[in-house]
Amino acid sequence: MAVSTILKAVKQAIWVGWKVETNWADPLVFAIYYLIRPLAGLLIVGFIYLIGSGATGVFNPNYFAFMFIGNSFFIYVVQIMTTMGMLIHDDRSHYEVLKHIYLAPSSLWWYILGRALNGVVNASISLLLTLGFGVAIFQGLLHQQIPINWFSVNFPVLALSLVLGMICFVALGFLLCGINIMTSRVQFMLSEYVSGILYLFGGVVFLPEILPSWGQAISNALPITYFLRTIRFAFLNQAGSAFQTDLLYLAVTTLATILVGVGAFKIAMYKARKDGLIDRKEEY
Amino acid sequence: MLENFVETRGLVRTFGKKNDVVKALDGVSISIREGEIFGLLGPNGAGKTTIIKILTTLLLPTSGEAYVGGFSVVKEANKVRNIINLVSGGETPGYGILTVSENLWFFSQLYGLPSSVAKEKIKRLTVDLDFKKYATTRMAKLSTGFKQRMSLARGLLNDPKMLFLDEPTLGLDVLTAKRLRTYVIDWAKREKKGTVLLTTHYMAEADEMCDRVAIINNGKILACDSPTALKENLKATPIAKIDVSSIQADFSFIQKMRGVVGCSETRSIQTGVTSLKVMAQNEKVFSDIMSKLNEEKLKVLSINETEPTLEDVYIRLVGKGFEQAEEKANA
Repeated sequence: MAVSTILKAVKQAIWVGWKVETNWADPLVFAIYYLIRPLAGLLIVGFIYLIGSGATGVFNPNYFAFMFIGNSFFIYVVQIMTTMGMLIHDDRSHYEVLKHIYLAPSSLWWYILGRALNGVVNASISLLLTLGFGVAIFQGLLHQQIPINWFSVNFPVLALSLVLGMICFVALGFLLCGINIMTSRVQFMLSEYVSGILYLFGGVVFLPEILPSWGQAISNALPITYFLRTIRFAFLNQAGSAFQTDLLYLAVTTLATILVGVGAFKIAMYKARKDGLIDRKEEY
Repeated sequence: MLENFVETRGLVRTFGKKNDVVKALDGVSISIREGEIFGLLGPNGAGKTTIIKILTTLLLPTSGEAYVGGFSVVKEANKVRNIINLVSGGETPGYGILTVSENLWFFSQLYGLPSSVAKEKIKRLTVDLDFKKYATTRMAKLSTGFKQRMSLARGLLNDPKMLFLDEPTLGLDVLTAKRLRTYVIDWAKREKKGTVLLTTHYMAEADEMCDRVAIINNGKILACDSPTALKENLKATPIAKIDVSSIQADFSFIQKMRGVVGCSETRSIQTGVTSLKVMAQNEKVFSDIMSKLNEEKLKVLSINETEPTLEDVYIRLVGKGFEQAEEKANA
């Protein structure tokens, strides 16, 4: 297949993804939603901590920063899982275009990748807005010091973590696409369940060390744990942190996720073709 | 040049598991020549769409072989997808949130068309199919007829060597259906090598469009020839259309009468009339039928001898019309 065809398919998928996700509202309303959704998640967690620390009289700025970074970057998981968890159902049953995309020479793989990249772009915009407004609210309005030196962020580590993390989450998204093509009516809960598991065990707002041993074992197997550790290292520059080891684990778990996600999607597509599920119609 | 652009050998497709297996295709072997408009004619549930799904690589066969353009639909699916396109009737042709032009542009890019070629083609197709004025309208707001025009335009964007049309005029008004049929015939003739596989349960459509027609029932090909040749075989068989003033009566006794080759019935709730199409071994049989209808106190409004149609070919082969075959399949 020509590279130009692949690039065109990816570009169009990003564009269609944007249209699909933004078509329900006026641009202004959508922009507000775009900001409020991730910011609300951050503010809830932030205020719970502030209220709790106010009641106990102990405020740990390092922990606040830990939570702030974890919650902000978790938007990538939410956005990619939501986008990729819904697209098979939407395109197959709602828009009824999946079979035509599947039959196009550019292949469904590149289209899905494009839709996933749209999720990454959306999440990145949300992240920047959340970080900006989060700092403005907590530091500017509430005078809570977040020990992040914005001028000494370790950009090489940040960039490497983001690249590995995005590859990993997109691979996980392919797993969701595979499950969705084989099933029906689980698309809504599937992405939420996966996001929920990652939120619980991935060390987003608390250290995985406080989990029971079996919970820690799960946490150690999840790439998001290492993703957030390396991201935090890049922002907080924690001395003595074994970020090289975390990066290595992130790379290994990402590779494992690619094998599982892509393998599962490939098997699911074969089964879908065998069982006639690619153009299955559901009540919508 | 390939002699047969499409070829299937002993194609079998079953659905379901163990004790609940339905055989959708039962050893289908067809050959479609390059540049031919080939029709698959049969009632709903006969297996037409299953054949299309297998040939377009949407579905794997249970057994048998199928080739499109010389490529195996099982082993060389990507090569098949490069040379085909599919247009289905009665479905959403694209993203409802995008305009007609945006949808066509989206698909043109998935097909890998260069931008300038894509723009030119979209412009030409929207003009040729007479929906240019809706180019900037959201697809969701189009009527069924214009959605189907857009669907056909999408199907022709990549200049497919093989175009699959699955009930393309389903639910369309007479004029729109006629326009689409004419366009496809023109396209196939103009392109010279544009091969078309059409599935339909409209007899007139198959008669008008197809160079050859295969009649399919219960997953089996019953006959395959040009519409003229298929009808020619019935020249010696008398056919009569009998209108009876009742839509409640049970006419199954006609099928069982001696000398009756086949009988179809179409009940019209609006007029309260049932039209029977009866095929007989000789004309005397019609007198027996009239007597029997009188005995049953059924009022005969008219009886006319008719020329054979493709439906009659189907009745001759199956013994009943499409409607009865579909009723039986649904039951």
